[in-house]
Amino acid sequence: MYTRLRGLIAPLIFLLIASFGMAQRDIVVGADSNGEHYDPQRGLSGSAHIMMAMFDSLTRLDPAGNLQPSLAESWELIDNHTWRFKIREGVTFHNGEELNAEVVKLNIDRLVTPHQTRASVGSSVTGAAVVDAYTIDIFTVDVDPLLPSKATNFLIGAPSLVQDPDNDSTAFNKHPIGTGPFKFVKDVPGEYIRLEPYADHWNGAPAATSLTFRIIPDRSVQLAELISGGVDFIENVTPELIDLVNSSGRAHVVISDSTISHTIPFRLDVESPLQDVRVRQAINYAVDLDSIIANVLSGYATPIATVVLPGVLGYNPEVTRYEYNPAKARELLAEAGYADGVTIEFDFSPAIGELYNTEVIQAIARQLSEAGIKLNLNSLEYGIAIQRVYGDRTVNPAFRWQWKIWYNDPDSILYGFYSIGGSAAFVGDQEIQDMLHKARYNMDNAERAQIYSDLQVKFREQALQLPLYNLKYIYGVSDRLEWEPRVDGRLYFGQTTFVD
Amino acid sequence: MIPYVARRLLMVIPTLVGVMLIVFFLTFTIGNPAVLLVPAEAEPADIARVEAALGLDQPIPVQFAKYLGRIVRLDFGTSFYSDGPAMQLVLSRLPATLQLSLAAAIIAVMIGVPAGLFGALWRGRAADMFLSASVLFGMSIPNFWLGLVLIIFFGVQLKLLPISGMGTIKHLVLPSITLATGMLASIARLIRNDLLDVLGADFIRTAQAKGVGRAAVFVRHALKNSLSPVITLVGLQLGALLGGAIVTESVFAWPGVGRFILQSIERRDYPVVQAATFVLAVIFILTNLVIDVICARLDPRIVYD
Repeated sequence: MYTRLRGLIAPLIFLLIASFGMAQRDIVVGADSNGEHYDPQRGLSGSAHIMMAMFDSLTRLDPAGNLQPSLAESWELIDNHTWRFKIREGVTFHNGEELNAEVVKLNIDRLVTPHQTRASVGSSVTGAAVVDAYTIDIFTVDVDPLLPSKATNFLIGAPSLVQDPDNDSTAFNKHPIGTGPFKFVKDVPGEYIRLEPYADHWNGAPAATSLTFRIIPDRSVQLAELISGGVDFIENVTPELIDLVNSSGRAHVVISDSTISHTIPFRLDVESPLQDVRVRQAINYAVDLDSIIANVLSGYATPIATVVLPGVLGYNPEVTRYEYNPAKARELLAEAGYADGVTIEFDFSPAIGELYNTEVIQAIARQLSEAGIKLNLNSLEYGIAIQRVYGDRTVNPAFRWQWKIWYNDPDSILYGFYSIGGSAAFVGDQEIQDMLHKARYNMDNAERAQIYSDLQVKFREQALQLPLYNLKYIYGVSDRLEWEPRVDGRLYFGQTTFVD
Repeated sequence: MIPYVARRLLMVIPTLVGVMLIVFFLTFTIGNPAVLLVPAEAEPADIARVEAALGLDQPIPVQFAKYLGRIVRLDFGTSFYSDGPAMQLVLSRLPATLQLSLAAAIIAVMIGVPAGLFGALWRGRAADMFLSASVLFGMSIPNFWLGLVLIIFFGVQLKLLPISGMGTIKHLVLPSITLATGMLASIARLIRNDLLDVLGADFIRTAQAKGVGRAAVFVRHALKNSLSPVITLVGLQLGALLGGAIVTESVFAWPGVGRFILQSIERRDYPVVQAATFVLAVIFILTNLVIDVICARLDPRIVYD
């Protein structure tokens, strides 16, 4: 206990001194958790905001979700298996080492070397080869139109730490070194991680004098800290607390769009009433989503007709939701032979679905029951839900899920859930499989867009799911900060400035 | 006493082996970690690859043999999640939990014992009623509610104490009070009932007849006899606190072992869960041994053989 207290004296003195002047430009973020691993070859899986502060990737997404250069200035397709990237010159790592094509190759080699915790961040990549000092070729298994977008996950770590492709994450966990706008200072596992600005960042030094991510597991406590000035930033403010934040005199709320679609997919590959398209359509007709959004989510969501959101490749504005028509629902059920009602087993997890997801499920169940459809609700712990969907595939015929669209491209989501043999494929339709396959291995964007657009029509006709909504992100931000939200929900403080 | 203690210490080993056996088989029931380690777009082949890398694709007897081999050498492997040494990760969280648990235990004893004492002393009077009601209240309040209320009052509104986190003594105040309420209430009740029992005994009447002062009767004769069950209770609760302060740790962002174990279970991080169970089992066993020895010293009627 004494050692622990003694160890605190130095940082406390530092904080005291710091509080006399520098404190104005510190940023403290209240986070649900930290990554606990800082290995760039594990991508952004652990804690995206911490990794994005310390590391840059080959390409990046801008706040609107569009692909932009980052450590790679440009790229072109050489042949069906090769993309050539031009690496930015003059970039240095936090320890002074230089970035060049050789360093990028070391990182890619480490990425494709199998290791227990580095499973498949760049799964279509097979390797890389240096062309000249600042040019590198990256090889893919098959034609991959999305590689430059996937390269937003290729974080680049310092050469001295990635030299051995077989090594584990220990070195990076202890002292991560990247090219990002912030460099590592100190990590107290379970408590906080402290970073400081990297003055030689290629995109300009950040305005903050320090960036700390404090772990505060309870969201009410995060809010309490925000309105008392203990932290400068929190996520996941619930709608009814917006006024509290805005009137606190210390913080305000920032609202942004997101790329997450909430939906209820149906299984067609197991025996259940849902194998009949009329039952699936009846479910769609029986739900009044506008009412749920207005009453349960206080309006902070947009109803969607398909999981392909506006702005995403293949979005088809002519595909609309089934309108709320409980009478039609009953009619269809009767046609299908369920005039006396039907019971459907339903899985969901409180950890999946973000804001008020359990309340939304209950509201949907209530609305469906009025049309004669009874949902047997099964609440699953997160790990069990993942296990049932991706692992042993024993999930019930209807389940509540959410999908995040990456790089404005629907491939990864649609392929996973609607191909045959995909990780969570429960439909088994050959025609859909053929269309998905054609779109995935196709370099013609216009053709891909058309295929995805046609798929939306098919999904709607077949009522393969009950699409729900797209939530807004609601952040609590200190009045001292000028912070820009990102549509992918990742927190980035490299460009954050201060009001003064 | 010494041979007794020596024998108890020897018993630790088979007890621990039993615990680790149970833990091994239990970890299989919590599910497959491979699915949780891969991104959502991973193909089944990726999941299989991770399983192979973690050694989870081998038959159970083989896995068990490897597990035993490692445990015997006190090698708990590396975390599936963060790649760090599992035991070290657990031990790094332990000081925080020990600090919180000890502080809570001290508060619970310092307030609980006098509360029970005065409850017995003033039995039937208004003060006793008040104390009993408070005790009931204390036992019934959920920790997370009490914690949040204390935070709002002392942290947000009065700004007297920090809201969350660990650092100075000030940071320790609210979480340890929150954690202490349950134990405090149990101690108060136990002392009060025990004292009332003891006060009815013959030897108390003898002491009173001898002319011993009321206070002396209470402290030297009655209280000393009631301490033994209380110490046992504190010992048991301390053991439970070490792994079970999860709620308080979560509310106050206290970086302890309880919350870490919960996260590791959610992440199916087997090595960490196994290491943590081992550590907690050892602490629990040793705490109980110490408690038993203290009780034996205090109460000459207790004889171990």
